[in-house]
Amino acid sequence: MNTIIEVKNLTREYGTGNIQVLKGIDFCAFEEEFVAIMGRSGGGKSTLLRVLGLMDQPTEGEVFFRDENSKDLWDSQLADIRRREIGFVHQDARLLDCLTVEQNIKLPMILDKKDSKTMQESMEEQTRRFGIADLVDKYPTELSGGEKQRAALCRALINNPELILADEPTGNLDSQSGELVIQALETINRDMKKTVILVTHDPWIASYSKKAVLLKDGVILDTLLRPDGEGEEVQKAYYEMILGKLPEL
Amino acid sequence: MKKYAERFSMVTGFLIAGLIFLSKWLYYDGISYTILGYFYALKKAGGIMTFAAAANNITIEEAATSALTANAYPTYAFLFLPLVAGVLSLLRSCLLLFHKKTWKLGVIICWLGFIYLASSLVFFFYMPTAGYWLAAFLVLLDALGGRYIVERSEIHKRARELKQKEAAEKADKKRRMHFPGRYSREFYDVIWANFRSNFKSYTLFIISGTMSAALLFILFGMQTFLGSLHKKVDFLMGDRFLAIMKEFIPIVIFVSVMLFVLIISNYIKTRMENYGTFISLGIRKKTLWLIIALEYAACILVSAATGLIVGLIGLPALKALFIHTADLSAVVTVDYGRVALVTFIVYLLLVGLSTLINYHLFEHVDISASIVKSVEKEPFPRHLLIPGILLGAALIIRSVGRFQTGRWGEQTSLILWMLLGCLLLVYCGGSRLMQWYLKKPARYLKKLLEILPLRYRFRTNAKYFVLLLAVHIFAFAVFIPRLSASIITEPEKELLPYDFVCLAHEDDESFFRELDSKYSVQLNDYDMVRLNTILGEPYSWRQFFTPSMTGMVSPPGQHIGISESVYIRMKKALGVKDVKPLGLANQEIHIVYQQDTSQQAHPLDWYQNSEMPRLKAGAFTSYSYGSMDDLFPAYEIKSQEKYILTGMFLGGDQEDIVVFSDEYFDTLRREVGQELAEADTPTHLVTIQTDSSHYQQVEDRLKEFSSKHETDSYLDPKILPVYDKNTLLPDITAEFFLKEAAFTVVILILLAAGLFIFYLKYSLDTEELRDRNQFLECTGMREKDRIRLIRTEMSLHASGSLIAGLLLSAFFFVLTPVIRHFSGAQILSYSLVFLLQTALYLLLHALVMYFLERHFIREILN
Repeated sequence: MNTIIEVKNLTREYGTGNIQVLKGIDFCAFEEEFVAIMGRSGGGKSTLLRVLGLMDQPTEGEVFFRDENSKDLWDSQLADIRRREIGFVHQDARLLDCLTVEQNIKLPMILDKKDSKTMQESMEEQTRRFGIADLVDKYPTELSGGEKQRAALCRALINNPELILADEPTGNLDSQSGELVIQALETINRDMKKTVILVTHDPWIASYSKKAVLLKDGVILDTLLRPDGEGEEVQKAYYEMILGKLPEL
Repeated sequence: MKKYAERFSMVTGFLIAGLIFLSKWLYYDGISYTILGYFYALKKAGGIMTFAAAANNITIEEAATSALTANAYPTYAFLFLPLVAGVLSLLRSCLLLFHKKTWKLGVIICWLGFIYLASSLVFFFYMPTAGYWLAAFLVLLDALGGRYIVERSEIHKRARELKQKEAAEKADKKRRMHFPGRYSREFYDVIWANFRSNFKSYTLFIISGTMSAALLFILFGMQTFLGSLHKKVDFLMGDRFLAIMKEFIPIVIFVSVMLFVLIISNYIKTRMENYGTFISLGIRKKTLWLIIALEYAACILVSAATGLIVGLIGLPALKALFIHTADLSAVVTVDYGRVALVTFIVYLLLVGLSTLINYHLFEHVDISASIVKSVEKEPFPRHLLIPGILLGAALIIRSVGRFQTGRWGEQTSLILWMLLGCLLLVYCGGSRLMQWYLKKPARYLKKLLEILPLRYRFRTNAKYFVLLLAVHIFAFAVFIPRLSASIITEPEKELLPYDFVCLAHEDDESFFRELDSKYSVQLNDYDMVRLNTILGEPYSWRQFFTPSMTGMVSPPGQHIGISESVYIRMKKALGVKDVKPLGLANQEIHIVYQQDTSQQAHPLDWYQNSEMPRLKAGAFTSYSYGSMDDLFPAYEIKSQEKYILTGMFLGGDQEDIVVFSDEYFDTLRREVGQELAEADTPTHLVTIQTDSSHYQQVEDRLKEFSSKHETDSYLDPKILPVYDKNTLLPDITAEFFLKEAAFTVVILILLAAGLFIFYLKYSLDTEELRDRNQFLECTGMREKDRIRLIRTEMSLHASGSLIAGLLLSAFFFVLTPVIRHFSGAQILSYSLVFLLQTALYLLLHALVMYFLERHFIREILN
């Protein structure tokens, strides 16, 4: 399996070096991998995700996207990668209230100068997949939390990126909606063969992943691998494994 | 390559040797010598000293100690170096010819040449000739040329490789950056929808821009129509107009730029936040900046257009008001096209300047900063707090102290000192106070929520507090007092009690007798002396950048000196019955400022802002530090008043009346009389009152008089032999109107600016306050208490800065009538008008603030 994204000795500081959020992290994600990054609040999860999403530059260390060092890339190239190769799902969906659901979903393609026909076809495909085809003419303020998050998922997939980054996608949702969203991410990974990196503090959500990286105070405490096999039993065992590690966080 | 290099070195080596041995090398005593020839000449002469002595026609003994021959020996010794170099060069070339090794001969030759060249620069005896220079050139060429030949191909190869690498990188960059295609129509729909939905962020921009553009349009329009009024003397287009403009244009520009900087800063940050999602979705920075630039340009154009429209409504209204007030029948014209063009250009410059100040935002936009809001606590200033507090207090005291003497006039710099002092006190004092307060939890826990803004956002809150304080201080300390003083000013006709005032010379007596007999004028002739001060205007950059070796500064001031008896006569001529004697001693003066209440206080002599003005009677003379005391003796001011004895000709800046004791005045008259032969100056002050039927004839005759005494204006063209009422009256009227209009506009601008800054501050803080409100609501705090908390926080900026501004400005309000020498009645009128205007300002401020607070409370609670 090829590495899709890798960080080496990643350090991220804020202010005048007073606050070190990430301290010398080594991390990589392979193609078709489903990774969960777990940790307490303030542990550096979201910061790590932003660095992986090429939205934030490390203070020290290197970030490689498909073996290309981000420091060697121009801003425009980073923007191109974010647009074409990475799909980001935020905790609060981050849909633009002034645009319809259709426009929100199409936005990455619009920015990629795609033609209207291609955009329309992709949008219809994604909305059908996530069951929100009848909501495309509405505005985000008219949607429920779960519907917004599904629209965000559609937007994240519209350009057929290789990597999906999700920052607490179920954080603002009830358990039922959250379950739908995480199952959608699982589908994206399993059936669409996309790499998914998910940040969560919920061990049950993390148990959907294949690998759980535990982050504490800016360093990786441990990496847990899902046991081989399929089914609820395996997931439950994995969940128990993660739960057992939580006190250390 | 090495072969070519060797051949090159061989050829140059032969040439060098040839030049050294065979060419004319030096020139001495009219003869050119080769090196060997020179040695031969020395030997023939019997030695160096003999040779040198013969050449200089001195004895050998003298030659031994003469400076002319001092370098003979060293130069002789150093001449062996080129000889050795020549031999080595020959040897090297021969070796190269037979393809033998040359070891380091080339390097040795080079060093020999270098040492010899250095010695020639130190020991100068003979003059080198062409052979010397050619040989030196060839040695250098040999050293570098050979190397170049060897390395040439390598250099070219590296250059080619570098070029190829750069071309490849450029091609690679082009390929990587290539982003073909066009944005679809949906792109523009999305951008437009996003722009429309964020109208709040650009509404502030447009409103502020409209206000500034409208104001500029009105100002320039006023300048145009007032300028079309001026008659003979260029008051309005000259210094008087400039003086008025100088009072408030810097404030207008400062407030405009400050507001624009804040608004643009807010605008860019808000737009970047709005576009945060676009950035995370991968919009290219260039595209994003293009979008923001187009929005920015659209806002600028829209605000310029709306500003011009507002100006086009306001200016004719103002013009009509002026015509009505001034009761003019003259045609007042405005070139609207030109005014609009000038306004647009100046407006663009203002926006450009404000944009440049915010350049750091454009250059260092950080993606993560546009998405992640900073919630860090702002640190308190910690260093140099006590010195800051002391310095701040000292600056405020200094500012007030200088203002109250009147010797520094009412310069804006004094207010700026005060503002700087306030800034230091707020930052350093506020920080110190907070640190003390926060030391004990028992102290601050009771007021934990109330002091939250100061505890976590000290710098931001302090910044806005100081900005608001600055606005209020300018309003209460500067412009409201000035407007009040303008409103209560004497009627224009009272400022010019005589139809004509002439500054006549000794030989003009017959002229005025004839005038009197022909036209039956009411004529008063008073003895006077022309007085000159060292400096007639405030010391400024003009004087700083044109210093003189002797200490002279320019321009000097010119005033009228009279005796105490004349002073009493002049007052009685104006109807004052009971004139108290001044009781002046020698070297004591009484100053009578010829100005109205609206003119700023100023010293008679601006030189070093001394308490004792320096005056010279008679013609102006240049001086130096040494002669200053004799030519411009210092006088003690016994008393001062503001009273129109002759007329307000130059706004009180010049042609004020200086009263001496009778005895001292006679002394001055005698001194002036002695120098009259060399420098004729006015010695008679003549006031003329005529009836309307003869006015024109008298005016025409006085034109001849003026032509005769044109040289009286040589120092300053504003100083005239004749001041006539008809010419001055419209200008004074226009000046009063302009002042009142200008001050009113500025006060309104300051009021609007203060409210705007408040609005801006809380617009930016709304989200944070809303989050806090929600949190407090969740913890069970009642709405009434939450509202009280918000009001308490706002009160710091809403009323805290206002009260502080009022208190600090009290000094200036109280001192202004004192330093302007108002009469008792004038002080009372001034105070009433000031209080009325202050009340109006406070009322308007409170009214708008009430609605603003309600608006923000509603926004925060929702």
